[in-house]
Amino acid sequence: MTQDLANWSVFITRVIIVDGSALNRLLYVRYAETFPIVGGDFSFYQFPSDAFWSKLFASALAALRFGF
Amino acid sequence: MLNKNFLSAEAFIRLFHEPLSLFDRTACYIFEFGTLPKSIFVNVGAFANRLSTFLGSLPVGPHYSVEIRKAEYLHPEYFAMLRARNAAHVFNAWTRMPELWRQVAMEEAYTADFTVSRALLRHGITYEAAVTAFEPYSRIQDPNPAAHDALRALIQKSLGERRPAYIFVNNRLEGNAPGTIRAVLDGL
Repeated sequence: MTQDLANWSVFITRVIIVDGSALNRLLYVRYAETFPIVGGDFSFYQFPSDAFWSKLFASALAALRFGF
Repeated sequence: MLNKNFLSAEAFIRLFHEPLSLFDRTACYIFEFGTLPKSIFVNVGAFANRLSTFLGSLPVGPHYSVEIRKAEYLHPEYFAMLRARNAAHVFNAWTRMPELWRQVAMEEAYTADFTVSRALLRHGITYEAAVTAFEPYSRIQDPNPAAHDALRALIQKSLGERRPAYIFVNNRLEGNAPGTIRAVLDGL
């Protein structure tokens, strides 16, 4: 699981949000079951759209909070 | 090229605060500043003044924090400004910032009623070097017990004062972020 979580943190911006494949969704859920918060330091590369935020939050457990 | 949105409260509110307010998923905001040249801010006072205006124009409520990457900005003027705005200094482990334990030891660095820390890189190690050394981040490869101690100190202080702490750990600190978190927690 440790390796899964490490991979998840590497790919969060590049894969999970964009792709949303079943495997990545699983990693996302497992991350949220372990950690209460995740750093979203991707937010300063560009101004995210409303659709981006919706997709991001819909793909994670409701309890997961973000630091932007 | 001048960025018209740089430290623009209007842009932040329109592009982040308003859309994110619809979701209630934001723990904190981190305003990150690189190694700002003197052509932008002649000194820490100029930076603090501009930042104070920005922070003072933001909606009350969210937890705002500031991450600097210029060691000379760790200055009483900077800390006093943050304290006046109840914005947190981000205790950051980064290439050219004083080590985490040095920042944690600075009493004046606790500027808000919450704490934010980002453990990103070992002092003196560049991002590129860490990526090359640590990928694919399968295990801790460069143990950093001093960083563990510093993070524990932040956690214990926050617990003792019953204040929220947002601690972010990156794979590039030691090679595996979950392993770092486990090591920190095991030593609490």
